[in-house]
Amino acid sequence: MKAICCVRKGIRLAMCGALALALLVSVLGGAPLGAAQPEQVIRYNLTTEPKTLDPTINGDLIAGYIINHCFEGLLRDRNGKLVPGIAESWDVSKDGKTYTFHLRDSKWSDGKPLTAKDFEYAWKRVLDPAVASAYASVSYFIKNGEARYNGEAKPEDIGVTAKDDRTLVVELENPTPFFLQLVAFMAYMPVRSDIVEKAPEKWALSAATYVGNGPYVMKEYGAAGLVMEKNPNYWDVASVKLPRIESSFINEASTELAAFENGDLNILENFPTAEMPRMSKTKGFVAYPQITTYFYTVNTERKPLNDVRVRKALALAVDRKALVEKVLQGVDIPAINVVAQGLLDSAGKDFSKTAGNFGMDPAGNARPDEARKLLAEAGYPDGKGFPELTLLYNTSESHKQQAEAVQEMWRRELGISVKLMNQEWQVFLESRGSGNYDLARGHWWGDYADPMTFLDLFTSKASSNWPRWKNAEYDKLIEQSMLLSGKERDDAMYKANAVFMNDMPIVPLFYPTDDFVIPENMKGVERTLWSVFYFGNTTIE
Amino acid sequence: MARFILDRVFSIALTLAAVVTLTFFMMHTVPGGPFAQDKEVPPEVLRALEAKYHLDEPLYLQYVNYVKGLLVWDLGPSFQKIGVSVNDIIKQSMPASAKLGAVAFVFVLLVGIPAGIYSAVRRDSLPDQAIRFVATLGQTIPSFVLATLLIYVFSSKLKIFPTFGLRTWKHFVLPSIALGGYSLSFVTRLVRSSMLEALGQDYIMTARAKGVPEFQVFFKHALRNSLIPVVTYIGPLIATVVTGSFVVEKVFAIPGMGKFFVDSITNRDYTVLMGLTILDAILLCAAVLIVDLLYGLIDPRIRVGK
Repeated sequence: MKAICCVRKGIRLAMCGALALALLVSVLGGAPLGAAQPEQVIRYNLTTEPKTLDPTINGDLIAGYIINHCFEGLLRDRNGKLVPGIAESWDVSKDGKTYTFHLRDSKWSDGKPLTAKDFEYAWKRVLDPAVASAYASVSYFIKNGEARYNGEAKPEDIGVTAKDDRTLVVELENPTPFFLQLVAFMAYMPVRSDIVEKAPEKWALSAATYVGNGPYVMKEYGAAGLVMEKNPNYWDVASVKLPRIESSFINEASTELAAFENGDLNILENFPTAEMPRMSKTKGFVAYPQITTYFYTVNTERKPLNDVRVRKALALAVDRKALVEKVLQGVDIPAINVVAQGLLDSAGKDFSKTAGNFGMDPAGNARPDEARKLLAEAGYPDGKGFPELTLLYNTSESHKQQAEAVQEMWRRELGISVKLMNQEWQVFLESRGSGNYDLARGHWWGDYADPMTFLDLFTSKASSNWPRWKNAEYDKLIEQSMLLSGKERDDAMYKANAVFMNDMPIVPLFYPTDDFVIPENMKGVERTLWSVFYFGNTTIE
Repeated sequence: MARFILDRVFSIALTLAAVVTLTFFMMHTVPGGPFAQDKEVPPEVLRALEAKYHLDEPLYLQYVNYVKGLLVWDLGPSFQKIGVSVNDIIKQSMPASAKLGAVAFVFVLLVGIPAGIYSAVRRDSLPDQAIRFVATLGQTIPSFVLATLLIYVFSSKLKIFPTFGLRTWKHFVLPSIALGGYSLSFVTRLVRSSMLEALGQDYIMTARAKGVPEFQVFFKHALRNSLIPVVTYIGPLIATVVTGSFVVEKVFAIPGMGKFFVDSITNRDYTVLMGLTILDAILLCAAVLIVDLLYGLIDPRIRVGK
C-alpha cells in the first residue's frame, strides 16, 4: 500500500513538474514574442526597374516614388496637402507671375550645403533639349520654358535665378494658380551640379553617387531590388519614423499576390483582375482616387464620325455602370467628363462634378433611346447603312475585355458593328498619333491637380489632340484662362469644357482608381496627389 | 579533326554575319521608334535624342558602325535604360540566368535520363506508365501555368519555398522545375524511346546470346547508343536555359536576361535587341559545335577526320 502510494505521489510530482515546465516554456517562449515590436520595414513592389532615377530626366511614377523619398522640392506633397519643404516661406507678386522662395538651411545627403543655385541648375537642366527630359512640359509655365525646350531660347532666358544662396526668384509666363503644386513635383527637385556633370548618365545608377536631399538615401540598388534608409542629413530627420524601405521588381501580378500572402511583401498593389471580388473584401483594402481618365478617342476627320450626332450616340449608348461592375469587377468610377474627378476650381468645388453631364447619365447608365434618336437623325435609323468602324487598342487583356464589352453595347443599342483591332504599343502610338484610326483607346494621367492638365490636351496645336478636333472658340477660351485667375479663370475653363464635351470628340468611360491592400497595423501611409506613396510617416504596430 | 573544326568555325561565322545583318535591317523596318510617347516629343528634343544615339545617320552607316563596335564586343548603349550599355546588361543579368539555367540543366539530365532508362527497362510496368503519364503532362503544360501552379502550391499554400528572387538555394527549386519541366519530359521520353529502339537491335540479342549480364547489356551496349539523340538535344538546350526564359524569370521575378529579349522588342531598344540576339546566336552555334564533337566520342561511326 505504502509502495503504491509512493508511486502515485511520484507520478503526481512528475505531473506537477511537467505542468510547471510547460508553463515556464510557454511563458518564456511566448512573452518576448508578444511584447516584441514588429520589424519597422516596408516591403513594397515596384513591378519593373525604373528607366532612370534622375529626377530631371525621369518620366514615370515608379522612379517618382523613389525620388519622392530621396529628394525634396521647395514644397512637399503630404497626402495631397502642400507643406513647406526646402522653402521656409515664399512671396508671390501681385500679378501672380513672380515667386520668391526663401530657402531654409539644409544639406545634401553627403553633408554639403544645399543652395538656391542647385534649384536653378536643375530647373534649367529640365528644359535643356539635349537632356531630353520626359517631364519638361510641367516646366513650360516658367518664363521662356517652352521656348527653351523647343530650342528657341537660351538657358539664361529661362525665368529662374538664384539671387543668393537662400533666395530663388522664379518668373512665370502667366499667373499659374497651381504653381506651388508643381514645385513639389519630381521634375522640380534640385540636383547636384558637380555630381551630375561628372557622370551625367551614370550618377543615378549607384548608391555611392545618388546624392539627394530627401528624408531617405539609397543604400543598395540592383536588378533584384532597391533599399532606402533614413537620411541623417535631412533637415527634418526627427520627423521621419520608418527607418527602412525595401522595394522589389516583380512584374507578375499573381506572384505579387503570392508574395504578399506569404509575408514577403507587406503592401499589395497588383493582383489578377479575377481576384478583385476577393481582394476588395480583404481588411485593409483601399481604392485611392487618381487624377486619370480612361476614354475612347474619336477620329473627327473621318466619316461618319465627323458628325457630332454620331459621336454623341456612341457616348450615350455606353453603359458605364455595367462596364465598371461586370468587366472591371471593381471600384472604378463611371466617367462622363474628360476631366477626372478630384480637381477643384477656385471655389473649392470638384470641377468634373460641377461641369454637368452633357446628356449622359451621372450614375453611368446608358441612354439608348436618345442614342438611337441621334443616330437616326444623322441618317442611320437602327444603324442601317452605318459603315463598319474599327476600334483600336494597344495589346493587353484588360483593354481587350473592355473593348469587347463596349463593342457589344454599341451593337445591341445602336445596331452598328465595330471591329476590334489590337496593336503593339509603339505601333499603336504611331497609328493614333498620325490619325490612322476610327476609334482608339486613350488614357490620361494628369500631371498636376488642375483641370487644365486635361483641357490643354485638345487645343488645335497640341500634339496630344488625338481626335484631330479643331475649335477656334475652345482655343480662345483656353488661351484666355491662362491669363486669368479666380472665378474668371473658372468660368473660362467651364465654358471650354462645355464646348468640348458638347462636341464629344472623345467617349469618356471611367476614372480608374488605384487599389491596394494595406494591412491595418500599418499606420500613417501617405500618398501624393500625383499617385506615389510617402512612407516617412509610417509605423508598423 | 582540325580541318573539320576550321570548316565549322567558318560556317558559324557566316551564320552569325547573316544573323547580324538580317536582324539589323528587319528591326529597323518595324514601325515605331524607341522614343515614342503618349504626348509627342517636340522635334528639337527628338533631334537631340536621335543625334545622341546616331539614329540620324543613314541606315547603312549605322550598320557599318554597329559591326565595327561588334568586332571589339562593344554592343552600344541601351536606348531605354539611361547610362547603361548592352555590355552592362549582359554582365549584370547573365549570371542569374546562367546559374538558374545550369541548375535546371543538371536537374533535367539527372532526373530525365534515369527516368527514361527505368521506363524503357521496365516497359509497360506501372512505374513506366506513371512516368509516361507525367512526361506527357509535362510537355503539354505551358511553363507559365506550371510556374504559377508551383508558386500557388509550394509558396502560397504549403509555404515551403519562397515566392520570388534568387538569393538562397531554396529560391532555385521552383524556378528550376518550371524552367526544366518541358525539357525534362522531353528527355525522359527521348531516352525511353531510343533505349527501347536500341534494345530491339540485333547486337543486343547477340550480347544476350553470348551470356553478357543484363546490367552490362543495358548500360554498356544499349545506353551508349540511345544517348546520341539526347546529346543532339542537349546543345540547343544549354543555349536556351543559359540565356534565360522570359516567362519563368517574369513569374519568379528573377533579375536575369530573359525579360530583355521581349522588352527590347516592345520598347524598340535596338541595341539591346541586337546584342542579345547575337549573344544567343553565338551560344547556340558554340553548343552545336560542341555537340558535333561529342558525337565522335559516343559513336565511333560518326567520328570525323579519319
